[in-house]
This record gives sequence, structure tokens and C-alpha cells, in this order.
Amino acid sequence: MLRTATAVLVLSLSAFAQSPEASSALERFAKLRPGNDDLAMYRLDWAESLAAAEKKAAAEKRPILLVVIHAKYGDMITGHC
Amino acid sequence: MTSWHGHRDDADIPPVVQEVWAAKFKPGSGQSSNVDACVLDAEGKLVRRWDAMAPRDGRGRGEDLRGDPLPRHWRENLKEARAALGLGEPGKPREVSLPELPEGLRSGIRVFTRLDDRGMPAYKAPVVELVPMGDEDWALLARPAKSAALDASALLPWLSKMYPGGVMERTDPDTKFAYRVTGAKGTLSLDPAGEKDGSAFALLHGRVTLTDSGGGDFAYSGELRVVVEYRDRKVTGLKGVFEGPYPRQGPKGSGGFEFDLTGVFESVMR
Repeated sequence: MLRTATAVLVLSLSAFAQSPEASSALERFAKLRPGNDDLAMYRLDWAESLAAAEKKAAAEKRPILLVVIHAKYGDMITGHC
Repeated sequence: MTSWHGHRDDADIPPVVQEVWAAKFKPGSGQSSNVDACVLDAEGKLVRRWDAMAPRDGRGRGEDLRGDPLPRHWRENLKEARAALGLGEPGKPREVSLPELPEGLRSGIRVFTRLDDRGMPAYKAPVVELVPMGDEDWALLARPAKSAALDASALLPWLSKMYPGGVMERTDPDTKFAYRVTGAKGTLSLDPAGEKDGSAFALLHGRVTLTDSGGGDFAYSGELRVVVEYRDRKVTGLKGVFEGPYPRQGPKGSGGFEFDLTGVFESVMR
């Protein structure tokens, strides 16, 4: 639904942009912009650290899903590792 | 949901991670990946732990043998954890919540990056970051009366997010943090692209070459195409893409691959 709404919005903008090159860029944007299905990781309620998650869990009486990575590098908050 | 990373010889391992690793590295516990998932209760007590990767034989323990082994492996373990916590069936999924502007800031550019790494499909999942933009940043994209040249380095704050989710081979061997993109080279063109109903448009386009803090001759390039919208000469929106090949290497510099790196940019205005 949201993906459709985005596509409609972008197509209307592409109609506004007079240059064919700009229209082509907007069409490419509409094709490549991730939809909700691609962004499932962003449905999760992320906490920036284990300490922050523990504090929130205690306050809201909710469990924590913790991913432990045995590596020196890794940053799941930004997604780059 | 959160994550923690480190090594067994670290000095400050949280107690719950010590508990997870005590089970993981117990003699005779068999092969496992370097990633574990676990569920803690609201007091932080470990309820359930599992290897984040699916068992090698791909067979689930439960009755539901449909679907891929990895999601099934996670579904089964989450189900067990829910039962241990006395929780009922899962509710409706949360809405997607993308990174938003920090309090007090009025605008930014949201950047989505994705690497089509055929060997590591997880990197196809988009990484989303939001770069705050001030008036001086938007001024660089001021509405052009005629075609204007713009140095890509001026756009480094948001172009610097154009790197893949997983870049183990581009990691500082001392700090273990991924190298940052620190250079953007190329002469871009900002061209008028028409007007309609009180809005004007410009197209920013050209080839950009990015380099990182790791130095050497590492660089990668792509084509940038961004449409900027104006009202009353003020930028009111931006949408665009970056597309180019990203070079990857195997362990210790072996091999050499190129995968499609895709970036999508959209303005966020309050």
C-alpha cells in the first residue's frame, strides 16, 4: 500500500519535471526505493545498546531479543559492519 | 531488540553474554556460527539461546517443515521463548519505523544503500541512515538559472553513506571499525529541469568516485542522478539514486568481485 502510494507520488512528480532525464531519474527512484517488505528490520524496536535495552525492558516489563556477535567489528544499529 | 559484539578475551563482557558463550564454547558443543540470538526476560535473565544460523541439515524440530531452514529455525526458537515467557500468540507486526530527524532539526536526506552480493544475500537488505541538512547544505543545491557545475566533495556528508552493509575487508585492523568514506570526487552538473504548478525542478547528475579512510588505491564509482524540487526558490524536496559496481575481496585479499551497489536518496522535511 505504502509502496503504491510512493510510486503514485513519484510518478506525479515525474510528470511535473519537464526534462526527460529528470523524469527518468524519478522513475528509477520509484523502482529502487525499498518498500515495507524490504524494510522489515525497521519494524523491530531497536535499542542502541544492551544497557539501553535492559533499562527499557525493565521499565516496560518486556523481554529483550539480543543478538551476540563474536567479532570485534559489527554495528547493527547503523547496519554497517 | 539489540545487539552486542566482542571477543572472548575482552575485559568488559556483560554477564548475560558470558552465560551465552559459556554454553556456546563448552567442549563438545559442536560447530556453530559466530552469531547467537537469545531472549532475555524483563529482568535481563537469559530465557533461551540459539545459534543464529540454521542447523546444517536444514531440518526443523517442529511440525512445520515448510519454508526455508533459516526463518523456520528462528520461528521455532522464538516460539519456544514465547512459551517459556508465558506469552500468547504474536500480535500484529509493528509499522516500519525509519530513522527520523533528531529533535530540533528541520530537514535531512534519508539514504538507503543495498549491495547485491550474490554470496551474501543478507547485504541485499537495505541500510537506512538519515543525514541532517542545514540551510548551508541546501544552499549548495540552490535553483540554477542555467546549467551549473558542482564538485562532488561538497556533498560528502550524504554521499559518504554510500557503502555496503557488510565491509569486513574494509575494516581497520587495529580499531576493527569499518573505514569511513572520506572522499568524493567528480564534477557534477546541476541543470534546470522544468517548472509546473509553482514548483521548479533541477537535475543533479554525474559520475562520483568515492574513497575511504583505509587509503591505498581503493576507490569505486557510480552514476548519481538526483531531482531537486523548489518552491519560491527554496528546496522543498529531493529524490535520487546512485548506481555503480562495488569491488569486494575475499579473505586476506584473495579473489576479486564486483557487485551492484545501489543508493536511494529522499529528503525528509519537517
